[in-house]
Amino acid sequence: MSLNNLGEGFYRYDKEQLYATIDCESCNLNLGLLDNKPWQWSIIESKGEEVIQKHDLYVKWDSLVVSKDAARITGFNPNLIEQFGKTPKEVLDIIDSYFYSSNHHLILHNGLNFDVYLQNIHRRALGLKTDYSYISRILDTNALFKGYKLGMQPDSRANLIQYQYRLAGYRKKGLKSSLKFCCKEFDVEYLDNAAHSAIYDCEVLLKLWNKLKWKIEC
Amino acid sequence: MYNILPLFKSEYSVGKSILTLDKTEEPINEKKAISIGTICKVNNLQVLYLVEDSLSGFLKSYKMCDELGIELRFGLRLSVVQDGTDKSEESYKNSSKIVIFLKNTAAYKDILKIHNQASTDFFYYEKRTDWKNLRNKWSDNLELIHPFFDGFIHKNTLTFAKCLPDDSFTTPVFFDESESHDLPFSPLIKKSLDNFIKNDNRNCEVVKGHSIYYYSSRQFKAYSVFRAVNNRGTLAKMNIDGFSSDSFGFEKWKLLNQ
Repeated sequence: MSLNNLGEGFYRYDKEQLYATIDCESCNLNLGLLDNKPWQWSIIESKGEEVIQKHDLYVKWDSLVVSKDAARITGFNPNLIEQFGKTPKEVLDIIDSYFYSSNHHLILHNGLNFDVYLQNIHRRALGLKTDYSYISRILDTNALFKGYKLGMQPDSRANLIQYQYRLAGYRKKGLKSSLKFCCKEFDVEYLDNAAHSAIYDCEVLLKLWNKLKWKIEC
Repeated sequence: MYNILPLFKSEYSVGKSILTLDKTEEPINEKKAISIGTICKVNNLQVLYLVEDSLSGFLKSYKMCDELGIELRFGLRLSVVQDGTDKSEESYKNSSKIVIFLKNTAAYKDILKIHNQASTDFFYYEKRTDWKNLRNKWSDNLELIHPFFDGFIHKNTLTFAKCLPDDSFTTPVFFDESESHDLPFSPLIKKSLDNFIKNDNRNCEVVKGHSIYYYSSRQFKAYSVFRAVNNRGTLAKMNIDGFSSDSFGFEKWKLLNQ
């Protein structure tokens, strides 16, 4: 046995790996209708644990209907969009530069069940085709956390996305995996009054990943 | 005939489709419920592949096709488990879907036996058969299909289910819908399907298919409302994992089949 190769290639030791931690806010929880446009995207680019840059992007759609519940939960503020919003195309160009960068792994919380579909809605709203070719580079902390709590490990990096999909759809009474709960489990500060703002969620999500990656054996 | 099989589902598969088996009405009016018969007639389809979750629409579909001079290929979609008498959560979790196509008129008597047992003795949350009884009731009048979605390959790939098909009494056909519906997890199912076929020595056929639940993407919102209501959800929160694709319409099939 070579002691030199223990943990080689594991996320926890890789200080050169580029990551894009991504979160979005949308009008509601629908995954397919173009009515549910994402109005905020936040991205934190990092290398290993070192933050390189942050993007907090408001999207200025021609029309947007945000449900009362979604507005309350996410702190939707039309004035911010009016003042700081970019065109949908400008925002998509930025977010897709990360989604389709083969060098970046994409950190999302429950992304396999939500954010990937919102990225697709954003593309379709601009007349672009669906393209989920980035799926295998996703690190869904919701799924990975469930795996950690259930004592399950992926059998290899190659099968990590299949492992995550199994866990993403898995529900068990008592198995909590909200971002707030995950943060509590790993002693990451999570402020309720700041939560669900995309950029804040990205910041705590990145901190969560930097702790959760030590529990993943690949 | 078809590069990709159009796999229609009607309202007789309760809660799954907004297409009807009603009298044909031309031209197609997208503001009303559209009949599969109308779609077939307007588009000159000579063969109708109808995959239903029950037999209740069989007679109506038979008569509709007879009037239109269309060949009906009817398939019953059922859950299958290891032991139909096992009514436990474990059994429910490890169930998967199959489709049984009727090859001829005599097949109706055969499918009735399977369907009736599935609806009574083996019923648990849904109609179910099991591999042992399927083998006992099987005949050459029937064709076994493993569907792309919710079949054993899908379940074993994307969930923790352990579906163990015992289909050695026939040579099944596998449907491949990986290129049809723009879903992010389809490539994973496809990869598992390819691996299975490569390692299976029965030379099973893989046929491209496209499930059809509505006419066009313009009806996707109406279909979403229908599915939300049936699932006790709302458009804002549908409670259906992965319900994201507007590509289960007939027009998408037509585009892909060219």
